[in-house]
Amino acid sequence: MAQMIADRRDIDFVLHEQLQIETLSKHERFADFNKKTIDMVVTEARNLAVKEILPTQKIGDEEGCRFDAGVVTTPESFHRIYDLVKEGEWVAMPEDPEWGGQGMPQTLALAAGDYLVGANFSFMMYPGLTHGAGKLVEEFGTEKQKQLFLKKMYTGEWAGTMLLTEPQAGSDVGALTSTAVKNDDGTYSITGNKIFISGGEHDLAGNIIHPVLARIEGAPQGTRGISLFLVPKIWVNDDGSLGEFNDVVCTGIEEKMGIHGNATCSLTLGGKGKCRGTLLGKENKGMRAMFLMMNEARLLVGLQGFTCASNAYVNAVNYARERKQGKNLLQAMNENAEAVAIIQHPDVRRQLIHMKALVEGMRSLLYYMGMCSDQVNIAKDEAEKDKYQGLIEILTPVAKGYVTDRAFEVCSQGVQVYGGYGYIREYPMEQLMRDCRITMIYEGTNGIQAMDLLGRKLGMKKGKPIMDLLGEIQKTIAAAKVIPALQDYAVQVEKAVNKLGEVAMHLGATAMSPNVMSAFAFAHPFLDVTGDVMMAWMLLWRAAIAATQMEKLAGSLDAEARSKAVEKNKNAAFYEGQIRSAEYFIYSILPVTWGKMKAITTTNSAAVDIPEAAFGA
Amino acid sequence: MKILVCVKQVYDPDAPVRIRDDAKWVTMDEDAFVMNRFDEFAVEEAIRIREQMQATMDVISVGPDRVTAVIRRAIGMGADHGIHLITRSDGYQNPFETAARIAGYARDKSYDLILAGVMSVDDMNGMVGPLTAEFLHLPCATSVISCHLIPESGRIRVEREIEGGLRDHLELQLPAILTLQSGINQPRYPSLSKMLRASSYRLEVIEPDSVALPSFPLSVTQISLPDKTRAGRMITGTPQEKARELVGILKTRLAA
Repeated sequence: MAQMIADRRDIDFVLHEQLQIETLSKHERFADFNKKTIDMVVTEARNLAVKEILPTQKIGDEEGCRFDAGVVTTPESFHRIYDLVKEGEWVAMPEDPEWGGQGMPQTLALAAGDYLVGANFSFMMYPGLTHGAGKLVEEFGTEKQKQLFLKKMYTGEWAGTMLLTEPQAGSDVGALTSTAVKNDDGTYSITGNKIFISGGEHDLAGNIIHPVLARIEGAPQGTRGISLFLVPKIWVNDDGSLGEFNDVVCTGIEEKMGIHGNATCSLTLGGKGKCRGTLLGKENKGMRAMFLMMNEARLLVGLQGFTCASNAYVNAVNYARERKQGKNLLQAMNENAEAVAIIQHPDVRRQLIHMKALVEGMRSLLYYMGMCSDQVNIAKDEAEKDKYQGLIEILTPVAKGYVTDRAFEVCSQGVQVYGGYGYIREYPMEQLMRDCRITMIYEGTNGIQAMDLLGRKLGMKKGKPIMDLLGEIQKTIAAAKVIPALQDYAVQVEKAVNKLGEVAMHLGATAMSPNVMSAFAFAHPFLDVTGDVMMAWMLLWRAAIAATQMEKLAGSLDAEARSKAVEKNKNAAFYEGQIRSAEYFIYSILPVTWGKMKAITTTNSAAVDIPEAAFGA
Repeated sequence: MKILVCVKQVYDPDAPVRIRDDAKWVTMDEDAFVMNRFDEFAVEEAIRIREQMQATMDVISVGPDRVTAVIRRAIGMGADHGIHLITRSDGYQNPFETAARIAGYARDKSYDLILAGVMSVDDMNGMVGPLTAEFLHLPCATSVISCHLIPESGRIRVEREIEGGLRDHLELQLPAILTLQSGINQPRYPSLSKMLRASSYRLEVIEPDSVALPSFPLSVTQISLPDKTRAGRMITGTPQEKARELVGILKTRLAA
């Protein structure tokens, strides 16, 4: 059976065998989530995704959103699936059931998202953004704000967005000019222009609730003077009924490279002086609120990019098994030899195993972060909570920046496996690549992610998070070392981890020296090598589990026994695939990572020293 | 109104099936079982009836332990209660035995309406519904594409799809059994909160030993793939290339 969107066996492997998600059910908070429940949730997410959402992926891309006189129309097919997602209660899976969530572990919500987001991420942005906006209300809202908005957002009855960007304030949010003036009734009159607002206006829900960053009159310049407001498209009266249109006007939507099904809007607030909002959180603390939500939002973007890669990989494998082209290389001189499936060609196999290793490593990393988030929620004490929160902090730029970089690379290779068919619209590959591209840009460009890792996260809490992370990796290395077949794999990963530690020390020190500019010119390469080492860790972890299982199935780990087991048993084939992914990455990619690490420690300053005029053009 | 819905767990029609070496049965991937599509229509129809009037809705399935997944899925869709009639065998399930088990359970439960899919997508016998009706001496309508309850007369009006594109209109006295054809409704998906309820719901489990069954001499003697009498041909290329080649083939065939 050809897999669609994602490989179910791999999802189950990460959930049950690698992260042992069932252990969460020992805690009261997640007591309902035993293996059967977890499997049922993933099965139904896949069901809904494959049968209902996936068929809208291409239609949504071709039809796109339309704008006419302030009204945004989404693709026709999105209405039915929006209702299905809403009725199925998939909008706010990990949130409190009291407010319309399902109290699900974040790890499981990511697995369900693997299918749902993977089926059509431009569509899933509508409920995804609604969830994120609702989370802001839950964390920072007053009881009244929660009563008025939260349940309707978490259940998808109303949609949500996030209004940060302005024409002059993109990566530099502190430069925003939207203003808020306090009224006598405690509300604020909001005025400003926002751009690049995903889902800023659409026809899927009865109301749209916009958390808006604006500066209260007289507040300090820069990020210290920014506050967060809750601004509904249609005013919500104190009794919950809908009032008047709140002067949030969509003035246009962008024509984009990808994610055509999601309306990227320009919004004018208070153009007629009639836009009101209520303060969300405290005055001038808007950026703090945003930062608290940022890790989750960035993890979601990592998931979006990743699902494009996961789709690209399963499509490419299925295609390579069916597409016949060219003789087997060993039969090249045989005139009578028939064309073989392209999966038999060494160069195609190289592309496929590269995609496979990255997709598997990325899935493990993202779910691992979900598990860290669950551990924060059930931590027995503050020290444990701090540890897992620290791991989330340090891994977030990797989960967003590195994952989306590599996801795009996987999509590109997927196009390559399809050859000319990958480049034409009839096949899904070019859309995946176009859709994926935005994930490297929004929610903090990957350059910002790299600077976040080097400038904030490395030295955070005196380096405790990075030390905790290295400690976790060492546990995996120790477990792999006792398996003779994986001993050298583990040694290679250990060397890379130690080298990464050196590189981090060097770059951290350089960032504190007069060569700070050169250090930051290597921030992105540093993110890159950090991500590579995280992949190696995850793949080694997977291989250690797989080798143990394989030994049980095959009787031993020698080549012949493994080969026989693979022929007879599909689980053995899966485990063999895990060992080979690790082998490929450790022996074919990690050596390249070594080279990249060497370049970082050299910290050549050409990028900084080159005069602007010398760039030519 | 008391409704019983019969659901069968079937092997995913898209999953690979291999004939066992002894040719007596097939090997199947243990994680590739789903609810019979036709039974989804039955579950949905029962939920819709319950939405219109005071009713309770039970769902029942016959099979080994794994079939609890489809009972729980039906509860996730909205059923009130689930009954699992356990079988010892994981292989071929004789429709006489399945119907006898269901009838044995339902006999003293005073159900007003029993719904099932018109057939299962694996065996496609279409027998369990009518056989259950026979065992219970109830009126039965098969291949139903619409139904309408008339509470005041205790009857149900149904429209059946029959051969030749014709339709049959019947009225049945309740209690009755209907087997539903595709297209009667659009089955809903389970909601998360109902699934969570379903996963912890204590199902009613009936052991096989608790029912004395007559002997039904129906068994599998051999399984084989049908002989290949004609071959399909895949046309590849761009839509234009495919169309051109197809036109060429049609011209050649017509000329012949």
